Amino acid sequence: MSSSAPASRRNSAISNKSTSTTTPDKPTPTHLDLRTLRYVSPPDDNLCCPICHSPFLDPIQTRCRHTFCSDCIAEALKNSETCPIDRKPITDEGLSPAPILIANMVNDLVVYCPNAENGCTETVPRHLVEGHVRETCGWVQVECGVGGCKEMVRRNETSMECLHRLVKCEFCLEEVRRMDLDIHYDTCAGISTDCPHCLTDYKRSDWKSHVQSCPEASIPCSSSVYGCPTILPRREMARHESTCSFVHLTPVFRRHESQISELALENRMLRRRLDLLYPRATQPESNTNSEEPQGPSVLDEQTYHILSEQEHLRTDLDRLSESMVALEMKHTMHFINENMRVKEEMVAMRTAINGVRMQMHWLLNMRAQAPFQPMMPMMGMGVMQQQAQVVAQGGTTTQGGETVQRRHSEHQNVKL
Amino acid sequence: MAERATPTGQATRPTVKSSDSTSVVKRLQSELMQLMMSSTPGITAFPEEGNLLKWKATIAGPEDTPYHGYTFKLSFEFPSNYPYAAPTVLFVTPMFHPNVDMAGRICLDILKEKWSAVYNVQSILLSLQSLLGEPNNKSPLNGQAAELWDANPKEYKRLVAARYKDVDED
Ligand SMILES: [Zn+2]
Ligand SMILES: [Zn+2]
Ligand SMILES: [Zn+2]
Ligand SMILES: [Zn+2]
Ligand SMILES: [Zn+2]
Ligand SMILES: [Zn+2]
Ligand SMILES: [Zn+2]
Repeated sequence: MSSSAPASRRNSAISNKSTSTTTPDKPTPTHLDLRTLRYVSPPDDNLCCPICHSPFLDPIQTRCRHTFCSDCIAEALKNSETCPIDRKPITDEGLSPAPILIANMVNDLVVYCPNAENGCTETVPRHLVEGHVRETCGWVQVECGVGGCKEMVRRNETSMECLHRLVKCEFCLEEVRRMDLDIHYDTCAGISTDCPHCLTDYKRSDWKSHVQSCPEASIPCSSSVYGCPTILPRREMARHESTCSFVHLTPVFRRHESQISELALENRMLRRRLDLLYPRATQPESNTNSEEPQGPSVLDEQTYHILSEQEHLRTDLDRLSESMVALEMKHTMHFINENMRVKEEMVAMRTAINGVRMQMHWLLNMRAQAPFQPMMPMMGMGVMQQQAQVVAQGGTTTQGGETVQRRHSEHQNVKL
Repeated sequence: MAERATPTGQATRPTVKSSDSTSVVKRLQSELMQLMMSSTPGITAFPEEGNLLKWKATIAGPEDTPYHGYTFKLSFEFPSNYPYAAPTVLFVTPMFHPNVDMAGRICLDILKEKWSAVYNVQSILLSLQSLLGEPNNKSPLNGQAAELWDANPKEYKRLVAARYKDVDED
């Protein structure tokens, strides 16, 4: 699978890297950041760097036989010149490239194209991804190039013809870029359209104003707000309006309208005043026996003031309790919504966990059965992914056990 | 190779991100994934909402220690050069322990000079869990706790209970 040609490329990549590790902060726009790649199947723990938890990039072995990405170990050595796993002292001379087998295994891991979010569906072995982006990925912006054109265009949209050159629209004689021509036709003022009402031809630019005055367009009677249900073509409307009784009565309607609104305003003011006076009217009634006959008029200023104050407070209280009820409603709704959302999320998580569990069972079964039994189609989701995973791992069926062992040893390390 | 790349140089730019912050994020995401996939009994950890660099965690007091039956809340704050520098870990729950002070600060070598880039949230929590059962009484932050640990286990247990408060901060 991995012939000698890619291997030599990898070697050159390693030597390039080792010079660049001295200045890792320098931005290199031409270089694809391999750390951001997404792997098609979850990579084997044994192929992951214990520092960055991602598959090794330019794996480096220490003298104590631990493997790290070259960048990761270089960064870790800046802080302490010991192996991050067993604290044995190391220096730069103690580092050597990891066995070519490990390098090949991580380089053959299948990754998604970095332009996947833009639409590229390609998956390639990791060591080919730079070539894919540089040479074949259809979703990379490249120079148009036709006739020296410097505009950028997606590689899968390049053609023999430059889409950036200006062309004349044959209808309005405006200059438009070739690629924008179709969009331009939708709004081109030179192209004519039929008026849907009178069926005559009009240029797009004139059409809008025509529709406002087209004699065949149907319009409602000018007194439709007062109840006239008539809808007629514009040319017949004048005749209708000369006989329409609604139109004749319009001035009357208008006058009534303004009077009603004035009265409503006045009524509102009167009601407010009455509300203030209300306690003054009832108070004497309830106390008639004790009060003097001319009771209503003798209530002194102070009592009146207190009563009106009380009324104010009562309305305030009403308003407050109303807004409290509204707030409570809002909170309850919010709470219910939040609850629903959490529930939905939990269901989603549960299904995800089930999926993972099924994958695990399947993998365990694989391992339990004879190592090279033919692959069986299985039910459930993630079949494709698992197959891809098996392909990527190339039959390292013992990896599960090793992972568990490693976890245990990690725990022992950290317990003081 | 570099010369050949220049004409289409701009082509790959959209995929290049500043690897500094993304590497922290990637690493924490993979830790989170691992914690969720293989739930370790007695410890939990999860990022705060909207900030992957701050986590909340809990550890259960181990059996056969004065802390059995209690759950302790912790906060993690990760530096931008994590995992090359240790996170800041604090006990949020008030804690009576020789190596934890009144503000929840922890004296543990792997969080200080013995930090290594291969440690992670899970290994820190497991270490803290074992610290509960095996305190380092040589250089205590809480002298009273260090004295009582051997001298008066009963009183020690009482003080653990007295100090414990189930804080529910947010
Ligand atoms: Zn080592
Ligand atoms: Zn690494
Ligand atoms: Zn692609
Ligand atoms: Zn062009
Ligand atoms: Zn045109
Ligand atoms: Zn018309
Ligand atoms: Zn009418």
